Amino acid sequence: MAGLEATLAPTVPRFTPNPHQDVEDLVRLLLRQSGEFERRKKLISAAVTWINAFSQFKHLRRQIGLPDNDLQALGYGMLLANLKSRGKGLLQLIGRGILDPSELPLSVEDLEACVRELQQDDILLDSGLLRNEEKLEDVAAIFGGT
Amino acid sequence: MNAEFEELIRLYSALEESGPDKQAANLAVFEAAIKAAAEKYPALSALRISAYVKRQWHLRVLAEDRRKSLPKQRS
Repeated sequence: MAGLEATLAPTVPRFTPNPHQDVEDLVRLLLRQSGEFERRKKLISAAVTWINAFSQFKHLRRQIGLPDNDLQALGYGMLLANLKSRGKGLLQLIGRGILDPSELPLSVEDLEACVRELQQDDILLDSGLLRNEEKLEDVAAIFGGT
Repeated sequence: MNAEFEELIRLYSALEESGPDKQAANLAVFEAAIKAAAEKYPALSALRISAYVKRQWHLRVLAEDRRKSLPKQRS
């Protein structure tokens, strides 16, 4: 947060012979800065929440396994789509310069890779390849199967 | 299971078990390995190989967790 505070400390308005105007300018500046600070804090918090959600999603998937029936596939797909779209949203904010990646606990490359994995899983789910009904016998014939 | 497949499983395991701060490196290695496998076996698409590896890994993990949770038998 030190970097964020430093960037939010631009020039303080110069004092003029009119003390009322000086105070008014100062209050306006502080309000603008605190609004900007809060907005950036919220964006960073949203990004951290997303990173945690991604980790939890993988953890949960490890515990439960891949979807095995229509209902599970529906829930899994919804969760996947939600995470993916929000992840893409974060990347867009970074791309537009609204969210500073240097303030995040994850590099842009890692964030992009997280979203890419979600996209790949979404494609696998949509094509029915994650479900056990799709036997993938051709692959099993080459690599062996359990 | 052949050694080639075990390597794919190992790479996917690394991707799944490590934190998001290693995501870019692990995903790149896994994608490259899947692509190489698909090139070696043109009859199989990268998508199908990838799906098979993921499913097999999750099945193994679940089986292992189930085995661990079974009460230990007294000798």
